[in-house]
Amino acid sequence: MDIPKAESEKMMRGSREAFTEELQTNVELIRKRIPEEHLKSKRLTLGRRTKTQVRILYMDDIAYPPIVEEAYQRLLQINRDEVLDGGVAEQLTKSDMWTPFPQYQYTERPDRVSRELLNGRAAILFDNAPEALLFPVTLNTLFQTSDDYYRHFLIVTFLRIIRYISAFLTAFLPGIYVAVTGFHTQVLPTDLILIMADARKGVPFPMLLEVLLMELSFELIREAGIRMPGALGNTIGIVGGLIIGQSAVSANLISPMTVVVVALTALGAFCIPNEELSEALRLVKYVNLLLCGFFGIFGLVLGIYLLTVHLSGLKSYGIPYLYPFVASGLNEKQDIRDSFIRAPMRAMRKRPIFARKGQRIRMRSGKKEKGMEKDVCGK
Amino acid sequence: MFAENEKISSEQLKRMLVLDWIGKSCIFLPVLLSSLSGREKLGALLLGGMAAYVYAEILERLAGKVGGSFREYLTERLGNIGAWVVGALFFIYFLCHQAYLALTVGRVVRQFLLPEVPEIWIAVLTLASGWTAVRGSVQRRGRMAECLYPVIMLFLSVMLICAAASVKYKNLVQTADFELTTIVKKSGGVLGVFSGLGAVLYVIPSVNGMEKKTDRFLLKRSMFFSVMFLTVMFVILQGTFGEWGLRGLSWPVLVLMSNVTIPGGFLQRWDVIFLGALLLSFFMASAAGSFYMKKILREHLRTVTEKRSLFVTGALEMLFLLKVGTYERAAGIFAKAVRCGIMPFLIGIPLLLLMLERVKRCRKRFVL
Repeated sequence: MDIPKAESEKMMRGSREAFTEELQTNVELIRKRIPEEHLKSKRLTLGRRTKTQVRILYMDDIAYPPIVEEAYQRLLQINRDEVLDGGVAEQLTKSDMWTPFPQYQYTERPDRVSRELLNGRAAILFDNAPEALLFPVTLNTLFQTSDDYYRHFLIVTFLRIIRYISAFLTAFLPGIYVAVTGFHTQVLPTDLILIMADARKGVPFPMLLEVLLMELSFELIREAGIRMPGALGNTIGIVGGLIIGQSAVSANLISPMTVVVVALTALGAFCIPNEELSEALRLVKYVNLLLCGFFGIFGLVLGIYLLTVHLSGLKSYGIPYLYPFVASGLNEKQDIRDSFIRAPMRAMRKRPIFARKGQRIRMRSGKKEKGMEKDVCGK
Repeated sequence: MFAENEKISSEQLKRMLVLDWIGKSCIFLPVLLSSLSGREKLGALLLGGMAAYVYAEILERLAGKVGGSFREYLTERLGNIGAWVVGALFFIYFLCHQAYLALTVGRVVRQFLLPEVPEIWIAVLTLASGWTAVRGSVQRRGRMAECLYPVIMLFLSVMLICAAASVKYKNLVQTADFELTTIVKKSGGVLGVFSGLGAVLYVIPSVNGMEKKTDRFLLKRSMFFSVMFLTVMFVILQGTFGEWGLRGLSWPVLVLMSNVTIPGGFLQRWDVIFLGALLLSFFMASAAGSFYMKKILREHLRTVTEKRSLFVTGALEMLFLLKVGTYERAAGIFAKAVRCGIMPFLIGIPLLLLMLERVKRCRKRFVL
């Protein structure tokens, strides 16, 4: 069977393979990478009418058995006509159904699933779905990509910081813009204020409405681009972005500065490796925009605080969502080495918190074990 | 698993306590000490800080003996009525504290950020935001404190470091004479700001390792750090504004923020950002107040569910806030409540409990 190339998780380095629509092939793609008897799977069938085959994959010597068991039990409790995709099961087994933040990590890459299984996480695969759902999830894991581990640590650290900044921009930049220009102009250098005031001359809308309209227009373009087939989608993006933006500025409906802010926010959203996280942050952006539109910097601080409150209350299969930024001492602060920064590969000797306590060493110093040498030499 | 054990680490508790004190002390203390000379201010702060340190020591000694629930411990030592009285005193203290804190935020925000928004709106928002963090266990607050602590402390430290450049030596040296009686009197007020610390005994059973005394100096460390931070801030304020300049300012920290310039010329004014950091710590303090109120309700009224206690706490806070209405009234009520009624009890009760522990130990030795 032909193995498709990864489309939604494109990487600079590493395997190009993606999951197929067939469950058995997907399991084999993982087994190809981890040819070990410790790779175990639990089978179950979901959907009274669809009889969708589902597998939970995990390393039985590394993963925490209660986590796998809990996932199994949660899936077993689904009593529904159809479960045609992982997304349905995901929504039905989420511990907090109100949060827009993902509590499973969607991936189409078998190499990523293999690496995460070896980190102690588990994956759910569905028949007829070219994807796997990884769990437990933390906010930090949503910023990691497969090729982060194939490239030099300094480059990856730089990229990670860019991703975190882009997430911040996605959630807060329009709000900051509205707060500063609408309430606290004295913060900015005089030259910049003058330029911005000049650019806004003749715009009939208040700042909040202007940014809100522009953001919603961008959402329209994005949605239209996704629904249009193939190359037409790109055309819509160009036509919408360039022509409508330019025309709106020429007609004095919006200021050029607003276009720059909205474009930067959109770019920020595209930089986030996980699409679902990006969507959640886009929602946060609107809440924040309204708070800043009414209360300026006080609204911004309130928005940051409320987001912290929300994220602090989330957990995925017993792991705090904000780990390793909180409670990092649980794994002797090792997981900080794979967060904002990525430490050199030689310094990442331990597995993350997801792995069983006695099974956290993944790299030992000194020579290879005897058995391993034998295998490599083929003796 | 880790996120469901209803336990927080000692580091998280330390951060919770420091964030709870730092922001409000930056605002409350200069108001409290405004009539004093520079040397008197420093003396009152250090003396009050030392008294608070001793208070933390008493609480730390009690912490090892509290066991699974502070209410049960109180019932065992003081009887049912005694436990109820202690719970009620703490509850009233936090009710007054919440209104004062929220209306202070309202006044500060109106004066420095949003002159067009009524301060009661800001006060209501502050209370509501603090209340949102109370849902669920103490773990949520622990995680929040762990996350926000570096951000808040970074901005406040940068502010102090940059402000230190404008300190004038002559301002530090030329201060009016001081009176010991005034220092002692006002140090009581400083202690009053920290008097809510006793409520930490309600949280102690949820702190990892407290029962084994693995982190024996946790409360004292937090207190020492906070008092030192405030002392440095007072010295910088004194050095920047001088004796008489300081007396004329109601919230000198906020004026200090607007004076700070950071090299590079990225922004014209940084005070909005520093004030933002301070506001975050106010929200944390508001969350702490609501949390203790809810905790006291749940501990003392066993039949109250989580949802009901949450609702009752929020409703009482809001009603009291709306009843009080203005910053001046809230400040008056809080000062009166702390000075005359509640503070002596809040500090006296842990002392009494410690003495009872001593008596019990002596009796045991005597029997043996």
